[in-house]
Amino acid sequence: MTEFVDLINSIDLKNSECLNSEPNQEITNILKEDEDTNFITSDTDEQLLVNIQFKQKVRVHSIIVRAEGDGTGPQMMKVFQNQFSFGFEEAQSLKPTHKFKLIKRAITEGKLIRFKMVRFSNVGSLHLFFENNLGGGKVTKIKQITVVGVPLETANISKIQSVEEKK
Amino acid sequence: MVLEACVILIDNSSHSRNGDFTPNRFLSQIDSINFIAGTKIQQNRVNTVGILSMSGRRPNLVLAPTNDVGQVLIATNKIQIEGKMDLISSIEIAQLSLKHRSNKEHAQRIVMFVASPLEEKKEDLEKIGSQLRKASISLDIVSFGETERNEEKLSSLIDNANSGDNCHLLSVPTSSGIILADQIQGSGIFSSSSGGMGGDFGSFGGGGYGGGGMVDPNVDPELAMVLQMSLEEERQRQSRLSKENSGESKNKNNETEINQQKREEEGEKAMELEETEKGIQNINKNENNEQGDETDMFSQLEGLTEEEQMEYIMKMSLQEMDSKELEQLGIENEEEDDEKEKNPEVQNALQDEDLVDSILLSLPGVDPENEQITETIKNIKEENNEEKENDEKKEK
Repeated sequence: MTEFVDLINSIDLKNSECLNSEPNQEITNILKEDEDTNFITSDTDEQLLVNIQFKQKVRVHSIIVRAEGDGTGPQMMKVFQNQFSFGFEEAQSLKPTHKFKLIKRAITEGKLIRFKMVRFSNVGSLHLFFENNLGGGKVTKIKQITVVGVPLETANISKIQSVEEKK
Repeated sequence: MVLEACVILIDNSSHSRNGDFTPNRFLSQIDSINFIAGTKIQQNRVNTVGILSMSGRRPNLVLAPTNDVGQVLIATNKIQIEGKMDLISSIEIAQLSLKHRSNKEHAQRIVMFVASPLEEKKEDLEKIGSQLRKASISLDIVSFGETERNEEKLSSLIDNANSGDNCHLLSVPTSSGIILADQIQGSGIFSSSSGGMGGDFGSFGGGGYGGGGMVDPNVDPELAMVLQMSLEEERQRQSRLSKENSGESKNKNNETEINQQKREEEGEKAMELEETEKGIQNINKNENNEQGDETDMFSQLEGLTEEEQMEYIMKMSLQEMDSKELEQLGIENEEEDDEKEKNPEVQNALQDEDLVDSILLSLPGVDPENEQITETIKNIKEENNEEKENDEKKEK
């Protein structure tokens, strides 16, 4: 059985972004392995859109979303994949590949949210649209997002060896 | 330098036929657009600028974001004056254009000119402002011609679009003789989205060196230091000119070696000064040229103020002198391959210990009491004295 790994190394941080976050917050707050000290906080309203670009195609098994239990955690999460120039207009009009209603326990305890892998077998970019939050307030906060899966067709560089020349 | 993709929205409604801004509102917009595009692309070669006309049957993207200033100039000529302005659709189309920009790392910006009374409702404007903020698009508005009527709506639009002071509203009141482009340049809000060089680039020609506007220390401390040194040298030279106004052709022949040594020291200490060294050479070239004309120049220069002198020097730097001409002026061109020029003033300056110390102090990482440096300076002075003796012998 293939082992599922944290796809953090496959994420292209430079081309990933979070829309409607507060001005000086970076996407690395939630995507990099962190002590959970940095958050992403929503700015204009309670919606957040996280666009994750991968360096290579991956298969996504599940996702972990961590947030506080004080009502600022996200509730409705719509998952899209392989979209180009994805913004709020598209997020609200297109049909998502997956729709999840998150519960408080899932986000405070960091439980795995299983995807249907058949649908996510060739993912170049993942788009998470957090439509509202648990408390119904104007601010949504996310601590960490971890994507679990397996990269497709990795070139294992350590296995490349030089061939001895025969004279 | 901010990487930016910018779309400029021009108001080509019938209200821009109005002539209260010379020659009329429409043409002053064109003028300003050319200025803004030029400035943005000059700040960073990779910045892109696009143009969208807001009025007519529908808003029309006249020019997709490009970093070619020539195309901007051509595109502005194609726009016709017609119809009424549709602000909301225009912003949405601009937003689309920015969303599909080629380089995703560019920051998104919309610059909008408003010269007609707005018919949109305030709530709609606030909604589109929040939409821009969500998509992290910053918005700058130039309101002119109908400023009072639009003030309230536009300021609420800016407030909603503003996140961290990246959006600005410039209201230009109607009064005689106002040129829109100048107002924009003066406000510096479009050019200084990140505290950049501001409108200095607009007046490149003579004053480009920042004669007055020394923003250099923030952006480029080494360049600032070198400029400072050159200015000091110039001042010293001027004071000497006024004292010794008796055509010092003697001293012309010296100094190349000294100049080289000094510049080598500078080069070592600040290794990124390659381009600025050329700048010094240019300045010294000019000083040289001026000495070439001797008494005429001296007396002329005395009459000018310091700023005018600097301008004069800049002009001179744009001229080139052949080696032939230099010979005619009685200047030896010891090493023609080397572009380093003669500067007897530097030599004289080096005699003055205090000046040398002050210059060395201003160089970063230089300890004036360092043995090597003091030795070098001694050597320079010795050579200087030797050559002076030689010259005096020659003249006899």
